Amino acid sequence: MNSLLLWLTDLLSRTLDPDERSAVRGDCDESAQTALQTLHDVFGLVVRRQAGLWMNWRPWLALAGVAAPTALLLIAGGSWLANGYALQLWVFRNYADIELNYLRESHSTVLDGLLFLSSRSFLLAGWSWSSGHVIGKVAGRARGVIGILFSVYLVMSGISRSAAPYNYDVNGGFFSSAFYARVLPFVLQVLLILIPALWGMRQASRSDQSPAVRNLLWVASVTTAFAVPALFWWPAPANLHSWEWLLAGCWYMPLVYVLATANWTRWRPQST
Amino acid sequence: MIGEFEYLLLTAASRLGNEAYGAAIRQEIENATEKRCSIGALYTTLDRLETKGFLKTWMGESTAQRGGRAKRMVRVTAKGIREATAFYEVMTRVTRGASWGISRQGIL
Repeated sequence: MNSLLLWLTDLLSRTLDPDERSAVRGDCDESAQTALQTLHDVFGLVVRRQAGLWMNWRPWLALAGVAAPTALLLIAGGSWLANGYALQLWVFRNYADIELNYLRESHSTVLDGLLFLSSRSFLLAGWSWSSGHVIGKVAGRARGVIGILFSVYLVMSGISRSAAPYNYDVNGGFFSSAFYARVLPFVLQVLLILIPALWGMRQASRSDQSPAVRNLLWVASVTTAFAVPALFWWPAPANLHSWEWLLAGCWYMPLVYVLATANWTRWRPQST
Repeated sequence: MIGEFEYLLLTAASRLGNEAYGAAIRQEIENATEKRCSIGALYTTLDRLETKGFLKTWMGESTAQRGGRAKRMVRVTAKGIREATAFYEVMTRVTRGASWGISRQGIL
């Protein structure tokens, strides 16, 4: 029990500044408090600190202006990709029964399918990671709370998903099974959206960002800006609602961010 | 004018002098008020007072008793002393004549 309480205290303490974390935990140790009292004290301080942060405009911008619209569009992208997975898995499963010429004409051979799924999966994960990075940077120290809200929203939307994927005559009730309708989209949402986005938010918290991460952010942002609209929503599938089009600018956010924060001096020619 | 808890904190830090840091100030406040002092209230008030220039804080040394963690040391500034004095004088004036304003020594 004590170890669980200490683990929770450690987890909460991470949202504090390193100096403050050290001072507060040291004070609690010195006062010989119980683990529960320490958790209570640290929780109280974290709540006060977070409340103070939310008096500022930045967390609100990160939440309402970046995280919420990005989450909506990422979920729409994840849903679209889950339908693609369902269709390709059905094709793989019934490969022997489908004419090879038809598979070639419809670009549904094994190679086509693998290329389609891997490219879109990488793209969705890269989009999620770069968006998470932007959310983390804009949110500043409120990124912990925004990360929790982002996760809760994604998980809840995954659990409550009700839309049935493709339901062609040829496959009958195949896609309405629980696996294709709920489990697969949820797993993809966690693996390709939630985990990369949280990873991006975590990396955004580091002040000593490596050049490799900065370069990766450039690559992911540029790729997201150009490839997501082309590969996910072009031509526009019928399942993209009009309100989703209003959020379409979200896939340009990482690029706008890296351009806005770029250190242009290193590109400038050196004066002699 | 500063608030009641801010006054308590400034007074405790002033009494402790060079030994003023989070846990010690908290202990002083709890001894004086006979109530529990939350870490959250203590640290957010420390920040507020430091922003106002009433005290100065810095990270001190760590001890084994604290699990090797550093202390946040506190020193009340001249401005902080003036504010605490002003608060005390106002409380003294406003209490004069009140039924609870007569101390055992009959000073008030």
